[in-house]
Amino acid sequence: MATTLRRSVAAVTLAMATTLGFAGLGLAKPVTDQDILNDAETTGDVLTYGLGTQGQRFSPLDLVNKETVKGLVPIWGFSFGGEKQRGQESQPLVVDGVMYVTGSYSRMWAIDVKTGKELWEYNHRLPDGIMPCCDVINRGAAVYGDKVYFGTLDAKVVALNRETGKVVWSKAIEDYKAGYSITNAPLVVNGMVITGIGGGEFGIVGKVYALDANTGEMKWIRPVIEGNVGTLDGKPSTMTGTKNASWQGDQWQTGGGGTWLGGTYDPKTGLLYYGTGNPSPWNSWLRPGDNLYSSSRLAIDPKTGEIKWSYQTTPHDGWDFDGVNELISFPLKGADGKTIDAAATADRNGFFFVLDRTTGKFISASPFVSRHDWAKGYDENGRPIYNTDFRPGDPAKGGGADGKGTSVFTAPSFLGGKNWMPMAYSQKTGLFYIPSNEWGMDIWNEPITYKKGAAYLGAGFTIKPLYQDHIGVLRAMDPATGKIKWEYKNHAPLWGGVLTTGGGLVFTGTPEGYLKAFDDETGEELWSFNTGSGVVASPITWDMDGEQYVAVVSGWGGAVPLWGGDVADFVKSFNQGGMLWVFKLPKKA
Amino acid sequence: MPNRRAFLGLAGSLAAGLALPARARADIDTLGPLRYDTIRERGILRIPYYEDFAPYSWTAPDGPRGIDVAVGREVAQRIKLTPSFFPLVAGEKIDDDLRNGIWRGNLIDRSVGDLMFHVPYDRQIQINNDLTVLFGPYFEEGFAIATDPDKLPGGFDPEADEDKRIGVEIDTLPDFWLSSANGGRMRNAAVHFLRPLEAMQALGAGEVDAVILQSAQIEAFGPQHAPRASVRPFIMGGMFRSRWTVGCAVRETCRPFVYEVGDALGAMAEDGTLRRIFADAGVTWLAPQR
Repeated sequence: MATTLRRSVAAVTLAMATTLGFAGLGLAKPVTDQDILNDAETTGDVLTYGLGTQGQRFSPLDLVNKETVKGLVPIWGFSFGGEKQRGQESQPLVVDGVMYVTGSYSRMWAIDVKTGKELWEYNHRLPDGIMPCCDVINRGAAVYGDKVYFGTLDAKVVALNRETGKVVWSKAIEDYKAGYSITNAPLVVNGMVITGIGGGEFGIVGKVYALDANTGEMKWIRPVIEGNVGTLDGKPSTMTGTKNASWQGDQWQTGGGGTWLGGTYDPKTGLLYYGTGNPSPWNSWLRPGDNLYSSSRLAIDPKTGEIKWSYQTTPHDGWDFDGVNELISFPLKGADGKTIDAAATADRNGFFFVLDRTTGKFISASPFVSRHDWAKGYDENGRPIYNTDFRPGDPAKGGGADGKGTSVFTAPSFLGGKNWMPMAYSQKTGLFYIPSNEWGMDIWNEPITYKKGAAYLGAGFTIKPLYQDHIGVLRAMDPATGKIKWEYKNHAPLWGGVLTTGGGLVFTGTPEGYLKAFDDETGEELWSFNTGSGVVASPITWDMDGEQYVAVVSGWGGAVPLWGGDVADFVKSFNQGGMLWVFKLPKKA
Repeated sequence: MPNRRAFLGLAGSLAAGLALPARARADIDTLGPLRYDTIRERGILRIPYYEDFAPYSWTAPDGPRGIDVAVGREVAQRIKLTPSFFPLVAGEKIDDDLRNGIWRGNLIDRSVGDLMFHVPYDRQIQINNDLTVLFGPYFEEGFAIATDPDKLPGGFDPEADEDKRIGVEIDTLPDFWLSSANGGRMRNAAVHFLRPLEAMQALGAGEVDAVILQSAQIEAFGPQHAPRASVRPFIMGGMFRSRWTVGCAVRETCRPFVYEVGDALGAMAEDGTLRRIFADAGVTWLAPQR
């Protein structure tokens, strides 16, 4: 009886699904933990942000390759519509013939990948008072079971039914009125939805949150600044670090370290890797010490939320060098031929780090931009060798001209040698492909600033390109030697993620509007397509019925247009958008 | 008494700043559409206020309250418009608030306010925000220190009192000053609070020995929460501003309000209305210095 009933329900659903454009797939197959862990190998779907929880953004697919890529053509486009456009930084997912893509203003769509037809739209109701720091963007969704998850600008995690787009649960992680928002794509590990949080620039402590994927119940919370105590199953767990080891007074209670870019997971070590933002307040003279674990990478046990190791890329940050960037697991071939379980990250501060991902031990730091004024390099213990002349001034020491604090010009700027946009690691070449930017900043203490109507001492800054003909540079980095193998210069700053494939290609977008494909060994540009608005999102690829597909979201925005100065001249003619493009090779006749 | 011309002077002298070439940003296309005539026709004046900012403004169960709200109601009445208040989440700096509150509007539906109170009357802020007009200074604000007479009988000595506990609101100028002055000697003395009221309550409870807050906050909260405290102005020197003038802002397209509201505030200064509104909140009104 039960079987019959279930079958008939399935049959009805199948019939409905077909008419709705589900392409005859019927009930969505639940996505399992194992499916997620296998995502990097299963080329027919994209279940995770990063094409695998390690975040390599590598696909072994090679139907589209150095020879065939020139024939790549769009097969359908999908407009996000509405009056609300602005920045689109989302990476789509592809599950069972359905694409899940998020857009600006906390929206999500399910689309039939064969036809480009919309299956449903979820438009999150946002309150008036949201204060996202860096545009109303979203970076993508996560799937698990019969649900699809994303974070919203009012700091909620929302779980939707994959077939209907209806809300299953919705959980406020923090209070948006305090300036919190979520823009990172969540990560699903062992049945938990794991997310960081952004915003709340002052008076906050960054945290990593793990929620039960089925119920939204909070499993654990890990604050990233020393002295603060985490929770596990609703009860206080352990203290992060040692109170007042690297902070003075009670500053650790409000020490910053936002976790706004999310993290990666390595099944081999069983560890989550999360990056942390800069410490608060911005001026380093106000908070002597290393200020752990700001501007760091943390390895966290997903079962308990305990920190297993940490590495701080910018101790005692004074330049707003967030340490949030993705830590990508990969096999490092040593000079002795042995392979180390390593991980790499390209930091705002201009250095590319290789760490032992089991222990966090420092292996190397190599510059990936042309200037890194703030530090000469790193010593063998992984400590930066500072150039003290390039640290912004002590407000107590007062001023330069015009009553301002003394101004320092230093590169990279606080927007970073690399900002949020994820790099890719090729299993084929063993190289990392880093979207970087060449810009510096004048930075000074700004006494003519007010906050909530009261006098305040802010950071004054002007971002300046280092070169007249380009800001963006896509670079191929050899993690074993720290040498740059090739580079591609782009006029505007690069702000989109990278994808690399077994076909020997490196895909990335430009704010000028192009999705481009490069030769992974030479950097030669092999193909490009003008999407009509700036590309500041991360491309994906998958295969279906024997054909390889590539997709990217187009829509200029993000943080760059929000900052003025000379950089505005590089980007002022770009128009907004909100469009998903899907490409493949034409079928042979 | 403030000279009425002072209410208008800055706006006039800064008109040159408005002639600067428009900045290249897409936001200009979505400027708040309401001009002066439209607001007059509508008869409603939308006024943003900071939601958690007593004694100046806050949301009470029965609606918006506070000094700025009372001033706003009085001004609206005098210029024959119906005030409509809406809460504004404070940004990292005043420029964010002018953008969200007055000229671009909020991110969600682009709704804008028409007249904003509690805006610093400052030439550089005007230059940086050329889509708004700053005008109508209506009072003078500054920082003050309230000390526990038992713990600090001779007052606070920044050269010697590093073993004391000094409450400050997180991420304010007194916070930064304590963290950096005298080579950072006072850093460990700083006790951070998320809200000024909590700092004042801690002073009353003997948990801190002094608090450094805005004068109005100390005056408004002191009598109830720390009645024995002695209060004096707090002057920091160097790059740290200790006093400033507070005024209003309107969108550049609503410039006639500069004169109407300026006149209303001038009259309210002269006829004692401002002094009374401040006194009702337990705060001494100080006439604007500029």
